[in-house]
Amino acid sequence: MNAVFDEVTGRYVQLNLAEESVRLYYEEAGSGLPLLCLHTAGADGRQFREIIRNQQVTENYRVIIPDMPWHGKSSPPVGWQDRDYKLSTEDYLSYILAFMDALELEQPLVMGCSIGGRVVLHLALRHQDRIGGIIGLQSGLDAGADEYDPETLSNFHRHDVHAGYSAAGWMAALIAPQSPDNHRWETLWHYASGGPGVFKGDLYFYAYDGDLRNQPLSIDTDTCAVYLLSGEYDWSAPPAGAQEIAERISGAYFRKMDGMGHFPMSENPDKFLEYLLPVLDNYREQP
Amino acid sequence: MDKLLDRLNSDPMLRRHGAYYSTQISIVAGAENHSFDINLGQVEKLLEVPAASGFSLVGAADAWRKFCEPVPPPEHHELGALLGSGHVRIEGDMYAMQSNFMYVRRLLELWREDQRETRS
Repeated sequence: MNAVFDEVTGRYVQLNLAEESVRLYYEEAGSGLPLLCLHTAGADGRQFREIIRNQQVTENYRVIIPDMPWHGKSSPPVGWQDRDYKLSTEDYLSYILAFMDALELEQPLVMGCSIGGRVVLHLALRHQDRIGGIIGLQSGLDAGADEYDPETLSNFHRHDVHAGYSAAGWMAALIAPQSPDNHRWETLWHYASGGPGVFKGDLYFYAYDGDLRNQPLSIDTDTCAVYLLSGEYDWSAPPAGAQEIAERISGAYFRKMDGMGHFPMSENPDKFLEYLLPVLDNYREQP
Repeated sequence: MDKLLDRLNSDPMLRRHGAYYSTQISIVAGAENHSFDINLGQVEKLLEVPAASGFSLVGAADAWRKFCEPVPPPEHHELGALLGSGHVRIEGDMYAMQSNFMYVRRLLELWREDQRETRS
């Protein structure tokens, strides 16, 4: 028999959010401490496909990967055809907390990348009693939005531009040259297959609503561990930004990932695991 | 130049993405110009003068030199990285570039391969 089955299982949950109800897809594998993984803008949980299948991770952690509403196999709310999708900080946090409630996740370690790397900071700032710690991948306080007009994002959602190819073409520029071609193109496939207007709507959070500049970063790392890992080829959320965050949070951990871009878990999972596994070990050893 | 033309016109990805694409693209590297005259995805002519239409990708010679290194440094490894980091700017028909970005980035990759061979 040539077929090889993963240990990963997928399931749906109906989540009732503030103003809407959404059918949300998630995957999980492993047992132990809950590790909640949040994907980047305009993509979905497949970005963590090699992390959730890695035995060194799953022997100690229950890995849980939701697709955000509107993303991947999660449905958009009823009436999507009559509105623009635009991700706000409030909506983002409320979906994460509702998902944690639904699965009865207690004090999860929450790992997010890009917009996920930003929202874990919001989560730790506002709800640190709910989580055990955060791993921010490609975290930054802002996305340099002062330098461009909001209309810059319009190429990702206009009738006469192929949004999937536009997103894939631009996101190719955030992947490091050292990353293997198979994982590079899988990562770009996720971008090429997003729903209309979803990437642009996520970038509203990334570039504007989720901006954390000029805010105190009051996180007690004794009760909420903070780890920041950042790839050197990321010009959108460069390592210097994550390093600045680490310097402002006493007890935060920071590592620059050489030869890595904006999608570490997806573009070069083997290399990323070299950085992630020591973090996961360190977190487990915490009192 | 013939070798570059062959490389471009035999590339499956360029052929797939360029089926409906006609424009002119110039790479402006300091005082140098590398221009491509494209008709329905086929690169018909290579010129060393600025393109008369379409768009130009304008940057310092040093930025393009870094782009062509065997392992380019951060901010220089891809067309989008050069643009996003401000090392290269677009002049001309922005829509012609944005609506065919997969084609344009691939063209730049193939031009880079040619530059690397020429320089080594």
